[in-house]
Amino acid sequence: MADATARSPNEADSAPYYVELRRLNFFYGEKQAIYDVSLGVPKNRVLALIGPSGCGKSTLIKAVNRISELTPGTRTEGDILVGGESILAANVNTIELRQRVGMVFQKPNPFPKSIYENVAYGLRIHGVRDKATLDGVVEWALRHSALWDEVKDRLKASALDLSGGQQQRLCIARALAVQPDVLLMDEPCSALDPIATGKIEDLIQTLREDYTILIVTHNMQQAARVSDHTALMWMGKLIEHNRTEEVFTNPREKITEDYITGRSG
Amino acid sequence: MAARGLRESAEFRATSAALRARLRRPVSLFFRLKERVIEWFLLACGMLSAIAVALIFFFLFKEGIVALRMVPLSQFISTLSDVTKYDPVEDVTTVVGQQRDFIWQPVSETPKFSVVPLMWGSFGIALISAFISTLCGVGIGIYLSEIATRRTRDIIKPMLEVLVGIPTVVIGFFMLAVIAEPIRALASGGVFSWLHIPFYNRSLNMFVGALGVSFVIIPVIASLVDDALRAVPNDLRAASLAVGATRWQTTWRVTLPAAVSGVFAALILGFGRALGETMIVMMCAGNAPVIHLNPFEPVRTMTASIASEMGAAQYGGLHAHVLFLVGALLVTMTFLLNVVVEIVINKYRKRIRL
Amino acid sequence: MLFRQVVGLLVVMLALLASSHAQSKSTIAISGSDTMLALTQKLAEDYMKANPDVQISVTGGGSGRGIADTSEGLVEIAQSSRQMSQKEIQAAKDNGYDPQEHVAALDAIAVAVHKDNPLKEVSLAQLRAIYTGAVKKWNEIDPSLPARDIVLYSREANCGTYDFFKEHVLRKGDFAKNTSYLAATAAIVNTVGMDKNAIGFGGVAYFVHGQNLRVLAVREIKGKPAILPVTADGKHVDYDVVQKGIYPISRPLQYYTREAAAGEVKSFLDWIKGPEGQKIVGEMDYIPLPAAAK
Ligand SMILES: Nc1ncnc2c1ncn2[C@@H]1O[C@H](COP(=O)(O)OP(=O)(O)O)[C@@H](O)[C@H]1O
Ligand SMILES: [Mg+2]
Repeated sequence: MADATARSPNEADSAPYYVELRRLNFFYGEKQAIYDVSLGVPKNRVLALIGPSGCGKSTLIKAVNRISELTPGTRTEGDILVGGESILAANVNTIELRQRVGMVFQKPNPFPKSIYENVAYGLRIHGVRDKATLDGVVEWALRHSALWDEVKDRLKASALDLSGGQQQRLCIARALAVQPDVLLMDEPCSALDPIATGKIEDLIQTLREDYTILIVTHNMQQAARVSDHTALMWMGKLIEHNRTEEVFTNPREKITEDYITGRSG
Repeated sequence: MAARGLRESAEFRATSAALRARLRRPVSLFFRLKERVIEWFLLACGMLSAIAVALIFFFLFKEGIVALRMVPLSQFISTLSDVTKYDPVEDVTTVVGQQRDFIWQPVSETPKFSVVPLMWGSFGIALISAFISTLCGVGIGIYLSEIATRRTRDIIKPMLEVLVGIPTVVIGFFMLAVIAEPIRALASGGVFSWLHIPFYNRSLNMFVGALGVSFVIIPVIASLVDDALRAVPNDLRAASLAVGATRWQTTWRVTLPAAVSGVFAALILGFGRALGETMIVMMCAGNAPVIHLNPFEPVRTMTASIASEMGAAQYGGLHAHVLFLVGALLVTMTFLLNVVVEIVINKYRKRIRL
Repeated sequence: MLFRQVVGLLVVMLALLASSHAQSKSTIAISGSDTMLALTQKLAEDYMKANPDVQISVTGGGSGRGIADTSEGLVEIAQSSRQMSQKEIQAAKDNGYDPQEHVAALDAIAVAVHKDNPLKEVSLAQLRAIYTGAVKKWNEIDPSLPARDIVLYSREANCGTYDFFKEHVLRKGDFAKNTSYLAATAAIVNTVGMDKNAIGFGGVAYFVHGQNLRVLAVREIKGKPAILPVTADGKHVDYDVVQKGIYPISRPLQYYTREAAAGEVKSFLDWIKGPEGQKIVGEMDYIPLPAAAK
C-alpha cells in the first residue's frame, strides 16, 4: 500500500500549500474513517478528491471547516492548516474559521427564505445591518456565482422556486458572501443535470482565480476538467496525490488505474 | 460465473417455474374480498368521524338556537340584578335596587345568562396558558431536537408522553392540593418579601388554572415542536453553520422558520386544547363567573359551566338550551380561530414556499 | 386466521352474556345528591352484606339529577338533600308516576372561616349580606376584623346544599358574582382551611374533620342566641341542636321513589329508617332522625 506521507505533486511551481492536512486521522466513535492522510493544496488551485463511496472524502473535506465535529463522538488526530495556521488549535474560533472556509453541499440546500435573504444570511448573522452593504454584497456574490442575470428581477422570490442548478449556484453565492478564501465542495453536481453541471464547472474555473478549492467528485471527466491536482482515496487512506494530468494519464498505483478506468469502485 | 451456473441448473429452473406459477396465479376471490372489506372498513371509519363531527355541530346549534328564541339576545350580554344592602343596626339585609351587570347565575328565581364572564374566563385561561406553554413547550422542543444528546432525549421524551397521559383530574387535584396555596403564599410575600405581588390574594385563580392547563399542553407542544424540528433536514443546519452561524442563530433563523408550519400547528393545537380544557380549570381556576382584569382573581370558563351545570339542568329546559348555546359558541370560536390561523400560516407558507 | 379470531371473540362474548344473565339478582339503582353519596353507598354496602341477593348501585350527580333520573324511570331511588320542587313533582306526574318521600336523616349546613379569622358567629342577615355581595370586606361585618376582601365559596348549582343555602339564607337572592363554586364540600373544607379570607359552607359532617378552620355559630334573627352546630372543640356534630331544629340552617336528607315503595326497595328504605340504618347515619356524621320519626 502507499506509504503514509503524501507525495507532493511534482508541480513546477511547487508552491506552499494553502490548505494542508498533516497525518490526519479521523474517528466516528470507535470507527476510524481517515487513516493518516497528509495532503495539501496551494493557493488558488483546485484539488479534486476522488474515490469510491464511503472512502472518507466527505469526512475529510468536512474536517477542514470542522463541520465534522458536530457529529457527536467524533475525534480528530493530526493537524490541519489553513493559511499556515492550525485550525485544530484550542484557541481557534470555529465561527471565524467557517467564514474563511466556505462549503457547498452535495444536495442544493437553500434556506426556505427569499433569494436575497439566502445570500445575505451570512452577513446578517455577523451583524451586518446596513442595507447598502447588504445590497452590494448580495449582487456581488450573485454575479460571482453566475446567477445574477437570472435572478436580479426576483430577489424577493423564494429560493425554493429556483431550479436545482440555480439553487446550487445560490448556495455558492451564499458561501461567497461571507468572503471566504477556501471553498469546500462536496459533490456539488451530483444532484444536477448535465447542463447545470456544465454551468457549475464553468463557475469553478472562474472561482479558482480567487479561491482555493477542494472538490469531491465521482465524475472523472469533471475532476479532469476542473482540477489542478487530484487525490484518490481508498478505504480512508490516501492512495495517490498528483497533478491531475499525471493521475489520469500516468497513474502510479494499480488501484488508481483500476478506479479511473472504471474497473473497480 | 457461479450465478450463471445456478440459473442453468435443473433445480433452479424447477423452483423458478413453480414460483412463477404461484406469483402469476390470478388473485383469489377471498383475497380480493379481503382487500375490499378492509377498504370499506376504513372508509366507514372516516365517514363515521365526519358524521360524528357534523352531528355534534348540528345538535349543539339545534339545541342552542332554542335558547335564543327563549331569551332575548341582549340578556346573554348583561342583565339586571339585585343590589342588596346590609343594615348593621337592625341586622337585616334588604334588596335596595337593581343594576345592569354581567351575571351568570343560571339557577335563580330569574336566571341570568351573561356569557361574557365565561368567555372572559375561557379566553383568559387559554391565552395565559398558551403563553406559558408556548415559551416552555417550544423551549423544550428546541432543547430535545437541537441540543439534547440522544440519551437525555431518550429519558425526557417518554417522560413527556407520560405527562400527556396523566388524567387531567389528577393534575387538577395536584394543583389544588399541592401547588395553589404555596404559590399564593410565595406571591403574597410570605417567604420573600421582595416578591410581593400586590393583587395575589386567592389561591385558586385564573393564573393557577392556566398553570395547570399548561402542564397538559406543554408536553403536547414540546413533542410536536420536537417532531417538526427534527423533520428539518440536517443539510439546512449544516449550511447555516458552514457560513459561521452559531447553533442558536441556526436554530432561531433557519431551523425554526423552516419548521414554522409544524410549530404553529402545535401552538394552535395547544390553544384549542386550553380552550377546551375542563377538569383542571374547574378545580383550580376558582370557578367564579366574574370579570376581573387581575389575572390572580378567579374565573369560570365556558367548559366548567357546561360540565358542572349540565348534570342538574333539566333536559329540554332553558338552562340546558343555554348550555348548548355556550357549547356551540365555544365550538364556533375554536373553529373560527383555526380557520384564521390556517389562513395566516398558508400566507406565510406561500411566502417561503415550504 | 382473522375469521377464526372473530368467531372466537363472538363465542367469548356470548358466553359472557349468558353468564351475566344466569345470576338473576334483584337490582336497585340509586342516583342523586353528592352530599348523600357516601352515606347511601355505606348504607347500600351494609344492606347488601345482609342481603346478598340484592344488588344496589349508587351514583351521584346532584339531587336534581337523581330526581330527574327517577321521574324518567332510570333509577328506582333518588337521594336528595332537598325537597322535590313543584316543577319536578309535575314532571314525574307527567310521566305517570307519583313520587314518594322517605326522610332518612338530618343534615345541617355549617358555615366556616379560617381559624385565624377572629369571627365567631354570624347572623343569617350577615350571611345574606356577605353572600349577595352587599358586604365586601370583613371589617364591614365587624370593625375589629381585618380590612380584607371576603373570599366566597359555595358548592355548584347542581347540589342540594346550594339550593338549600340559596333559599334559606339568601332568600332566593343571587350569589355575589365573585363567588367561587367548588365541585365538592371536601374542596370547600380544604380551601377554607387554606385561605385566611375565606368563608364557605356545606354539610356539617365534613367540617368536623376540617383543619385550620372554625365553624361559626349562626343566629337566626336579632335577639336570638347564635347556635353552634358542632361541639365546642369543633370535633363533633352537636346532634341535639339539629334534631330539635334550633340550629337555623338544617334540613332533612331524603330518598324519593317514583311510586309508593314496594318489594326490595321498600325493605331497603325501611332498613335505613330502622336502628341499623340510623346507626350508620350517625357513624357517617349525619344526624339520625328524632326517635319519634323512626
Ligand atoms: N456520522 C457518521 N457516523 C459514523 N460513521 C460515519 C458517519 N459518516 C460517515 N461515516 C463512515 O465514514 C466512512 C466515510 O464516509 P464518507 O466520508 O461519507 O465517505 P464518502 O463521502 O467518501 O462517500 C464511511 O465508512 C461511513 O460509513
Ligand atoms: Mg460523500
